[in-house]
Amino acid sequence: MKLLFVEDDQDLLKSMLFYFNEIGYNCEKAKTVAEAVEKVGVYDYDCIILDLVLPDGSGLDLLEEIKLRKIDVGIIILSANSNLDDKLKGLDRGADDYLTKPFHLSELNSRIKSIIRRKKQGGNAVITFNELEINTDAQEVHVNKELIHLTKKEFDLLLYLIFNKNKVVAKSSISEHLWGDFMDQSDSFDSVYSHVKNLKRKLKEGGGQDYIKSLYGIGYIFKT
Amino acid sequence: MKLSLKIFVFSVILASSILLIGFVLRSKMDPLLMGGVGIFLFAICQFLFIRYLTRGMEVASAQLSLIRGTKEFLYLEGGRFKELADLQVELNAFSVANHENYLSQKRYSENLSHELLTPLAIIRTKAELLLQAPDLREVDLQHLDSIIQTVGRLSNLNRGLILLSKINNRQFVDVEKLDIAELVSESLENFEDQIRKKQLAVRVNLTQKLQLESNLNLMRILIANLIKNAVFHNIEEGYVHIDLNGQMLRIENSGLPNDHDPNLFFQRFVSDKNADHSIGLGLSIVKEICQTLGFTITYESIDALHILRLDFLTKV
Repeated sequence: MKLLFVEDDQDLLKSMLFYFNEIGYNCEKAKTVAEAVEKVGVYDYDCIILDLVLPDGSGLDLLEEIKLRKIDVGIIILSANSNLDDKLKGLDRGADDYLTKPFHLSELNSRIKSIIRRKKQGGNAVITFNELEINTDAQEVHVNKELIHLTKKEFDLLLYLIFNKNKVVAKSSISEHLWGDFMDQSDSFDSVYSHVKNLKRKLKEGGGQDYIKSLYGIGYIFKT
Repeated sequence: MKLSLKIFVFSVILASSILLIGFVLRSKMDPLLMGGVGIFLFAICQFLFIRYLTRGMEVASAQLSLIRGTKEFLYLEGGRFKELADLQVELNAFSVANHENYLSQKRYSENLSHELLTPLAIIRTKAELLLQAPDLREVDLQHLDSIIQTVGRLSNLNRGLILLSKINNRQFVDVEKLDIAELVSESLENFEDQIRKKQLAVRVNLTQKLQLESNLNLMRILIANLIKNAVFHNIEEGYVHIDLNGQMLRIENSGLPNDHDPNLFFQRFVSDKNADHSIGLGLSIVKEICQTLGFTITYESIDALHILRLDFLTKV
C-alpha cells in the first residue's frame, strides 16, 4: 500500500512518515503542490493525505489536477482550517474525507484504512480476524460464527481498535472517535473505560480471545 | 461660537427685548407684577434655549448607549456650539480608533487560533509516537498521558474560540426547517453515558412539536451545549427536566448552589470550579448563537436549582 503525504510542516510530516512506515505502508512525501502534482503523475498511490495550505498554493489545486487526469486515489484532506466551506469544497472536488488539525495519528490511520477498504475491496463489508468476523454494513460481530450483541459504541470501539491493531491508542483518541469533539475529553474517560470493559467481557463470553490490552488505563491496544 | 458667548449674546438680546416690552407697557401695569412677569418670561426663554443647545448631547449619549457592546462605531454631527462640536469630533475619532482596535484584536485572535493548530498537531502526534515506545515505565506513561490530555484541553479551548469567531463573523448562513424536539432527543443520546453514571433522573416532555427555520449546525451546537451544561453541572442522583412548548425550551436541573453572579453566567471562562478542566466557553457560545439566531435566553438559579429558558420566538 502506497501513501503520499502532502504537508509543508517538517515536524508533522516526520510524525506521520514514522508512524505509517512502522505500520508497513510505503510512504512518500511532498512539500508543495508542484511536487505533489509531479509525484501523482508518476506513481500510483492508494491514498493521499493532503494539507490544504501549502507554500505554493492550495491543496484544492491538486484535487483539480487529480480529477482532470482521472486518477483513482483515495484522498483525505488535512487542514488547520476548520472552515466548513473548505470542507465542502474539498469533498466536492473529489476528496473522500476531511480531518481537522490537531488530529490523532490513530484517527488518521483508521480513516486511511476505511478509504482503502472502500476503494480496493469493492465495498466488501466483512473484516475477518481469526475467530472474529466484523460486518461493517450490518454492524454485526460474529465470534466463532456466533453473533454477539454489541452496542453501537462498543461496535465502533472494536472497529477502531482493530483498524489500529498493534498500536497503542490513547484514550483521548478513543473518546474523540466515539463522541466527536463536542464533549470535553476528561468527561468521557470513565465512559471509555467502561465501554472497553464491556466489549472485552462480551468478546470473552462469546469465546473470543482476549486481544484488547489496557496500558494502565492510559491507552488500549488490540494485540495480535 | 462658544457656549458662554452664545448664552451671553442670547441673554443680552432677551433682557433688552423684555425691557423694551416693559417700557412700552410701563403706564398700564403694576411695576412689581411686571418685574415678576419679566423674570418668568426670561427664565422660560432661557430654559428653552439651553434645551435647544444641549439637544446634541442627548443624541450623542443615546447613540453611545446604542453602540455599546456592538461592533458599530459612532458618527455624530450637528453640535450647536463649539465645545459640543469639538467633543463630537473627538468622540467620533475615539470611536473609530476603538473599532479599529476591536477589528485588529479579532484578527489577532483568529490568526492565533489558526496558527496554534499545527503546533498542537505536532505535540499530539509526537506524544502518540512516544506512547508506542516499548518498555515505558508506568510513571513515564502517566507523564505522557497528562501531555496528551493537556493538548486535548488546549485544542478544545482553541476549537471553542474558533467557533465563537465564526459565529461572530456570521459564517453560518444556511437556513432549513428544523424540528427542535428531534434535535433535543438526538442530543440527549450523546450524553447517555454521563446520565447513567451520575444516575440522573431525566424527564423529557417534547409532546408539543416546534418547527423553526434556522441553521442546523448552530442549533445542534446550541442544544448540545445546554444539555451538556445541565448534565455536567449536576449532582449524583440529581435530575434534569426538559420541556418544550410551542415557543420555549425550558431546562431545569439540580446542581450545586451557584456562587457566581447570574449576569456572569454567559461570560467566557467563568467556569464551575467543581468541574475539573471544563474550558468555560460553552455558555458564551450559547449566548453568541442566541444573539446570531435572534433567540432570547435567560438563566435563573434558586439555591441548588438551575433553570435555563430558551425562547425561540420573542426577539430581544
